Formats: sequence, C-alpha cells, structure tokens
Amino acid sequence: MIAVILIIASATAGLGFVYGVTVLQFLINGVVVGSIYVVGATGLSLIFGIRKFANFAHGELMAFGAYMAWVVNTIWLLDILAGFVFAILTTALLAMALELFVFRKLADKGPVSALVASIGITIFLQNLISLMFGTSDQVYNLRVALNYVLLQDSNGVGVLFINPIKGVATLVVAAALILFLHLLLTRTTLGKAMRATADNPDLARASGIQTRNVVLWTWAIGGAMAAIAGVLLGIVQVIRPAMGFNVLLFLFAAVIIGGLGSPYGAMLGGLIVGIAGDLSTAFLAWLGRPGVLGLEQPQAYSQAAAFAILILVLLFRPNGLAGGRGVAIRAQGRWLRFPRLPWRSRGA
Amino acid sequence: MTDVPSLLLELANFLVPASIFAVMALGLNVQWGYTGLFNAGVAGFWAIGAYTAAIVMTPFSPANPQYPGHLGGFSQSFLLAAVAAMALAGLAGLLIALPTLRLRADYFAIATLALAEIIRLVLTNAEHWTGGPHSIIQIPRPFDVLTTNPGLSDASMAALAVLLVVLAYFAIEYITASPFGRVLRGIREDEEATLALGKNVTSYRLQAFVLGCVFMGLAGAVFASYQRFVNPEQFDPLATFTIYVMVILGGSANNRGVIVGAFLFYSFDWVSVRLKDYLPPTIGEKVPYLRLMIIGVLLVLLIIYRPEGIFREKKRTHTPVT
Repeated sequence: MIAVILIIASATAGLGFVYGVTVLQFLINGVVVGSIYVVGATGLSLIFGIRKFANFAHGELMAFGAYMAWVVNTIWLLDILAGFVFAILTTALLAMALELFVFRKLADKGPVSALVASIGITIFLQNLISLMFGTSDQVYNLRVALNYVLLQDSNGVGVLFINPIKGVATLVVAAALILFLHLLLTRTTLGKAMRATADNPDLARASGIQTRNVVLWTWAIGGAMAAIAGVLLGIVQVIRPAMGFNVLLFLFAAVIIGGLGSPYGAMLGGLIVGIAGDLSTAFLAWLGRPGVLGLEQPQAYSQAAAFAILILVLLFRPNGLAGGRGVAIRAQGRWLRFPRLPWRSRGA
Repeated sequence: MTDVPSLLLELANFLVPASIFAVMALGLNVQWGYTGLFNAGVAGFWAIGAYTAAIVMTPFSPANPQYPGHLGGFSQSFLLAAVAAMALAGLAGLLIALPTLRLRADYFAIATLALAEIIRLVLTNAEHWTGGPHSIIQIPRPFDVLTTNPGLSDASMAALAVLLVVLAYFAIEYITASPFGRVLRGIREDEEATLALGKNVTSYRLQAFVLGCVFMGLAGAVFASYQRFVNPEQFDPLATFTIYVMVILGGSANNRGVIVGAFLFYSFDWVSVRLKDYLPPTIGEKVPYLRLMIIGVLLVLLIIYRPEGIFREKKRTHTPVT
C-alpha cells in the first residue's frame, strides 16, 4: 500500500520535471476515471467473491445501465437523477435474471463454464443494445457546467481544472457508494451473510444462511453498481454499445490488483488503474517526443499500461497487492506458486 | 482459360473461410479441448500469423503517397510465409505462456485476453511496421504465378485450404491419440494426479499451448493470403469467442467434431450474410446484430444443456494389463 503510493508519487514527480505542474491535471483525470473503475470493479469483485468466476458480462451490465439512463434522460426527457434510479433498478433486475436463468444452473460446473456463459451473454447484450439503440455515440442531456479552476499561473490563466459534473459529482457519487458498500458489508445482516457465503458457502449454509437468496442479492447489488459505473462513464466519456467491454479489462486489472473477491482491494485497484492510465499517457507522450524514442501515436498505448500492470500483478502477486505473496511449493526442481492455500480461508 | 461456374466460385468462397476457422478450431482444441487451457487470446495468435505472412509475402509497399507503408518487400513464397507465420505464432505463444501458464484458468483467460488486446493495439498503432488501420494490401495468393483467372485462383485457394484442414486433422489426431495426448487429457481431468504420476505438467501444458498457437498462425497465413489484405480490426476478441463457439458446438476434445462445428457455424454465418441481401433494408441492416445475438444465446444454451457439444469426446478405454 505504502509502496504503491510511493510509486505513484515518484512517477508524478518524475513527469513533473518534464511537464511542470500540468502533470497534476493527469493525476486529477486519473482519479476521476479511477473512481468510476472503483465502482465498476467493486461490483465485479462482489460477484467474483460469491460466484468464483470472472464475469465477462459485467461490462455489458454497465453499458445496459448507461443506455437505460439515456432512455430516461434524452427520450423521456427527465433529469439524469431519474435516469440513475431507472438504470439501477433495471440493471439489478437484469443481473438477478442472469443468476436465475444462467449462472445458478452452472453453479457446480466449475469457473470456466460460467465464464464461457458470461461471454455468450456479453455477445448477446452488446448486440441487443446495438439493435435497439444503434451503434453511434450518444451523450446525456446535462446542464453544461464550466470547469472550476483549481490553480492559476501568475498571469491569471488557469492551469489545473476540474469539471463540477464530470469531475466533482463523479467523485462524490463514487465516495458515497464506497461508504454505502462498507456499511452494507460490515453493519447489515445481508452484508455479513454475503461475506460468509463468499468465504465458505457450505459453512454458511450450515449456519442457516439462505445462500441462494444471498447470491441473488449480491447479483442485484453488483448489477446496481455496474449501472452506476456505466452512467458515470457515459457522463465522463460517451455512451456506445461497446463502452463496457472496452473498460472490462481495466476492471479486471483493478479487481486482480486488489485481490480477487476483495471489494476493498478492488477500490484500491480501480484508483491505481485509473491513475496509471492517465499518468502513462503523459509518460508515453514524453516517449513519443522526437529526441526520446519517437514512438508513433504514443497515447494509444496508454491502454496497454493498465494491461501491463495487470499481467505484472498476476505474475508476481497473484493474490493481489493487498493479499500477500501466496504460497510457493517446490516440485520437480521448479517453483509452483499458488495464490493461497485453498483450505485456509482469509479472515473476515 | 474457361470461366469457373459461379456456383463453384461461391462454394470456394465458402470453403476457404470455413477451413481457416476449422484449422483454428483444431488448434484451440489442443489447448482447450484436450488440455483445458482457456486461451482467450486466439485472435492475437491468428493476427501474428496473418501479419507475418503478409509481411513475408508482399512484394513492396504500394507507392500511394497516402499509404504509410509497412515492413516488407520480401516477396517470398506462400510456403515460406506459412512456415514463418507458424514459427512466429508458436514463439509468441511460448513467450506468453512461459510466465502465464501457471495461473488459474480464469486468471489465464484474462491475461491472454489482455495480451491479445496489446497485440491488436500494436498492430493498429505501429503504422510504419504494419500499415495500421490502412491495412497491409496487395498480399499475393500462392497460385498467383500460375493463374490470373480469379475463379481458378479462388478454386485453388479452396483446394489448398481444405488440404490444410485434412493435414491439420491428421497431425492433431495423431498427436492427441499418442501417449502425449493421454497426458494432456490427464492434466485436464486432474492436474495434481498427473503431477503425482511424475509427469512434468508445466512442460506438457507449454507444449500443448505452443502447438495450438502454431496452427492458429497457419490459419492466419491462409487468411491473409486469401483475402489479400489484413486489418487489425479483424482480430478483435469476438474472433476468439467465435472459435470457442465452434469448438464447443462441435464437441471439445473431438477433432472431427470441431471441424464439423467450424463448418456448421460458418454456414450459419454465410447464410445470414446472404440473407441480408434478400430482406428489405430496414430488416436487413439488423441481421448482423440478430446473428450475433443468436450466437450469444447459442453459447449459453450449449454450455448449460450440452457442454459436450454435438459429438462427444471418444471414450478411450484401455484393457487392464494382466
């Protein structure tokens, strides 16, 4: 954790020598995008924790939510807040339907069957959205807000900006959701039942927890968070059918960095992925300068930065940054590394 | 030269893509069907094969000033291009698999998907090497030196593609029926037990993965040569998922099954593309989405109700030694 902050701080400082104070703008944008990843990734992580498979359809849940809010906002001409509510309700219902009609039937067939099914759902939903709403980019009907100027240079020209809707509101919503999720997981019966089911479903069932209902509720909450992340992403960027799938790998990166199935880790991971994406844009732009490397179209590779982090974390800390080094067993002259011993459950 | 009848031409243009998919499905069958490796980066290895072949075969970068050009100018034969494509795809598979293969199935899927996306990003953006979104164009076909007749060119391509499917089938059938294949199935069923029997599981998985990637590279070489151009957008994750539908539809770990799966699936594709021309435009424009929605539902239904596919894996019983 401290190491992560140190790395981000030193990267910012290093780039600061090249760009001066503007590098902080990348950091701000990174935190805003990262907070959206946090919301998406915590939902994904909740579902992973309880169903133990990588849900490729989570991006499509986000896109579905974004389009539901778009329908309310630009077709029914209601406020975006009404759009949020409608998106949350419909996407939560959709997520519950997925559990009822697909994933419940695959519960005892191992993680890969469910993963393949989620790919099928991804293809279905993405094309359903394209069919119903078209493939062109859409935007929400929002009140236009001027950027807040955070810092001015000596001539009074703004250097650092943040938009009250696209920046501040996004951060506030994300922070509120994290608080909500924390309270849910620690203070409510449902939250405790969710953690117990994620930790050991058999034991949870033996203790009298209705694990089927708990799983269903987890899907609803995960879907609701996906919808919120999708609407926020639609506000900050644009709404298009592939919007969710395009950020899906970032969400996986966030979830894995934080440790699979750990919602708190996913929050940290989301911020890291968001900041890394934007800081790497600055770094790559520097690499693209003629004297340095002369890389072609350097910004395009900023996506690759998050993937590179994902792969590095998978290789060296498969249990996530927060989850320790895992276990290594020496067999046949080589080290086999396991995320953690399967029979030792993580403390709650 | 007489003209080749149009029906035959249509058939050729059906057979080539279907065969390319069949070769890829066979390659994936080694990885996923027999060894249980969920490679979500099939499109990446396919792309490496296609771009390698394109760069090896193209005569020169076209002189159009708008065109950024690409690596190339080697104008080598298809045979050499195919070998290079297979070698490079295999090498890429080795380099990717070395660090990632020991990951759990779902981590491995995410890692390979990310790597395939990185490959696509590089192909799109390294314009001076790959032509980027402008595609590599004017890729020759293997029999261009013999005939300039487009009909005969298609027909010869179809013959070559079908021949490659047959060769790939026998090669993979031979490998998977051997003791080597038995170890692969052992790893799929119970990794620890296979390890306990003294088999070097990591090495076997690595070999199976590289073998599969080699066939994907071969499919890429045929693909590039067949359509005479390659574009990075053709190698998106949907391409990977399509191959999975073929393998699961036909029957994982059944080589004849996955070929049938590839041909069946491609006929559905082919019909839906032709169907578009016969429907009024308002419905016709929706066909591509409906087609993919059906594919998605099909994948879900298959995995729930018939995970073994149309053809089950052949039961291999061994009489105990007395």
